[in-house]
Amino acid sequence: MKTLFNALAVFTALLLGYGFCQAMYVAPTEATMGDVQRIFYYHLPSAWVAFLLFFVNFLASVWYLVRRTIGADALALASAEVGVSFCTIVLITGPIWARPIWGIWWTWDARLTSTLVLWLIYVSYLVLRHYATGGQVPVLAAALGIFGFLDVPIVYMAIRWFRTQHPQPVIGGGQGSGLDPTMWHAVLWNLAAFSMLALMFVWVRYRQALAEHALEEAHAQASLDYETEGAQ
Amino acid sequence: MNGAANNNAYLYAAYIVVWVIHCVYAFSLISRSKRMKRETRELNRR
Repeated sequence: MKTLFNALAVFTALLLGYGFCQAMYVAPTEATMGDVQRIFYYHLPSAWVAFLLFFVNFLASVWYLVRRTIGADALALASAEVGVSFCTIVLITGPIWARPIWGIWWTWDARLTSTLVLWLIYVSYLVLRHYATGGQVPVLAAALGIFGFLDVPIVYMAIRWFRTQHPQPVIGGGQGSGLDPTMWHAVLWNLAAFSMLALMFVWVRYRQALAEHALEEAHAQASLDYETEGAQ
Repeated sequence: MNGAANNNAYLYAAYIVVWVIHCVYAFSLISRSKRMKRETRELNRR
């Protein structure tokens, strides 16, 4: 298992390097925005990976409510945590790109606001997991994960349903939308690289969540043994 | 030219932020693993 993990880590590093070269040097310079548009090659894949991870959290949460397995709970936690880190990247790179192009860091349009709400939902999910105690915490977190995921389609559709400052979609955006094929290569290579990085992070965090659970049980058992010995 | 150079600063800032976030998260995972190994060792010693 360790060999597979190391091989995947090397593969991910190579993909990240190749994706970086595609984004910075191979993709053509956009005609109106110039080089700053290259932020797009990290911004868009990060958003897609965050959506994918929140979907995994949704599935794992449903699975946990149905079966109550520790594995489903661990996967839900891992995917939410890694999803928040990618969503944070989206929320930081977006304003950095917006400042030179729109002249403002932020505007309360439907896409940006719904993305911020999405981030807040999953941060609250992690806060709940971290600070709340008691046996019902995984159940409450699963419910939050399921209802929180409802915001993902809203974020995705926001630029189709509302008139927004955010650019129109590059997929299914109607006439005039779409990307140059070379730009697509950069997007897809970075999407592959970020997906692999997310997979590695989720893998590690999932195993940690399982180990944390085992450790808590071992602590509880040790306390029980200690009390039993004291009573005798 | 000056405007384009200024805009490049935004590009570099965005890429640096992305890598800083990934690195910080990776280091947090590593430190959590180390802490858990230490806790497991202490529990086994008791």
